[in-house]
Amino acid sequence: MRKREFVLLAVAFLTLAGLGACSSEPAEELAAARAAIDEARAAEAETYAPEQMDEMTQKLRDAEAAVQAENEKFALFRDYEAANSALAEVREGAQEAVQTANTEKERVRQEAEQALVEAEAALNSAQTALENAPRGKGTRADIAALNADLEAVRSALESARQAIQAGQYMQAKNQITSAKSQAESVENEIEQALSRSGRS
Amino acid sequence: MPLNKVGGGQHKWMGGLGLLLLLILLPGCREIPTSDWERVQAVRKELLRNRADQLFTEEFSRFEERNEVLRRSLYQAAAKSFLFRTGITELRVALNAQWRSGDALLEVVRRTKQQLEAELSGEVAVIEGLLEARGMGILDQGYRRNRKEVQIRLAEVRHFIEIGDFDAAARLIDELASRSSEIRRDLEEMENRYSDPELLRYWSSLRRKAYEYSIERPALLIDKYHRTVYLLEGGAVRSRFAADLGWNGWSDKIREGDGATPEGEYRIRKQKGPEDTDYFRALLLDYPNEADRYQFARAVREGRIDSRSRIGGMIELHGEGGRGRNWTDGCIALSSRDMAGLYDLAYVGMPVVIVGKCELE
Repeated sequence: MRKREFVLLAVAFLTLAGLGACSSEPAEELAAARAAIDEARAAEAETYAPEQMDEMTQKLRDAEAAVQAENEKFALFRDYEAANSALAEVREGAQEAVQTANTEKERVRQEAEQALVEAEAALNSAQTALENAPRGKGTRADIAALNADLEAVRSALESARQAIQAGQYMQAKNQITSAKSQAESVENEIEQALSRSGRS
Repeated sequence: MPLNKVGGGQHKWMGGLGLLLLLILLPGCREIPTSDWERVQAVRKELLRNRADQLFTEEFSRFEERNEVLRRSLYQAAAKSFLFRTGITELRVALNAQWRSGDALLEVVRRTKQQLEAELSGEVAVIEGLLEARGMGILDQGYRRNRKEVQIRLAEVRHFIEIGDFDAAARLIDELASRSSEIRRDLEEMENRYSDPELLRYWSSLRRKAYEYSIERPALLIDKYHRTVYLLEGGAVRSRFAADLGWNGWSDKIREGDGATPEGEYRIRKQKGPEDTDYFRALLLDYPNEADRYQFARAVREGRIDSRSRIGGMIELHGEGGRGRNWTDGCIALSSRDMAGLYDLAYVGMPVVIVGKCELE
């Protein structure tokens, strides 16, 4: 009888211990998942990996709701396994979002810098065309006006360069695209002005 | 079979049937409405894709708040064992209401996007129209630089409209509003000169003189605002020619280098054939006249121009024009074809009356 009572006691103890293992709130996992999301936000994942970032944010909220729901149960019946699994997915997903954001940011940076090189080339080409334009009464005022146009393009490109230095790659890319097309249109205008004046 | 045994058998059979029915019906009332929740999440994604968080910030925040409440209710229900779940029907109703609310907001967002796109595109068109400056082709450098900067930013606005970032487009339009106000002010200052009653009366009197001169011999009347040269003969218009003026042609000429075309009464002083000009043919005017000298002296006295300035000269009607914009240093340029016809009818001493603006008789 004593041996039977001992066995029953041991089984009861082990069962309770087992239940206890699943019944503690995953505070560390929650903190780690939230930190991972904050890190992704700091890496500008909301700008450069917006869908991934939103998915992980929603998954974190699901996990928090699951934890909250388990917390409201009687301790012996709490089971945080599903919440733990979701929190692990959030950490992993947020880390992937950081990588995606960094890759995308690098891609946009390279595009912006390449676009800047091309825009500066277009500006220099227009400037050269203007410098080589024949000077005379018929072109003097046109040249002065076109110089003013190129000055505006130069100013826009400088602003875009500063945006790149500040890490605002998407904004820079937009500015460069429009400045480049204006530089090209000025060069066209120079050619048209020269052909109108009978010189090319 | 004893009655009690028969009665006891029926009760057991009915009890079993009732339990079976209960087990069949219960799942429907206690199943977690996952598909309803996924439908709400789908409409949320669509709202984000259409930038509802930017366009309708408050409404979208409220939608998100209700979402969080529903999420917690959903997980609370899921945490309970099947037999103890309650409130599932109410949760399903709430999820459907949330989906309908999101769907209605999505419809409003889409309509608003279309309206915004039209409004912002309209504002872009207004600013672009302003920059065109009624085809005057203004070459003033300050104006040109302003205009080009605005054109560059307008291209960015168009890009933001295309990608649906109306918030960014609207902010940039607001920034441009002050720049385009400067341009509008510059243009209004130029325009105001041409609606000044005193000037209009003066120009009208000059116009009448031109017609009087033309009764005996042909005369020229030049309307700067309409950029037109009229050949008058016998008190009527015989021909008209499109003209290009000085790059600062809006203004009345005061000094050398100001790019303005003078206003007043002049005479042709010399006719220049192709060997004497680079501009096909030319008719040299007797600018500056006495009125111009008086105006120049007063401007120097009043400090409006530098005392070292010169009054200038060499104002001509000449060819190589017809460019559709003001580009000369103050001369009046016609197309070489028009100049050919005019040159043959011109003569030394021919009256040339230049006004800012006039209506023909």
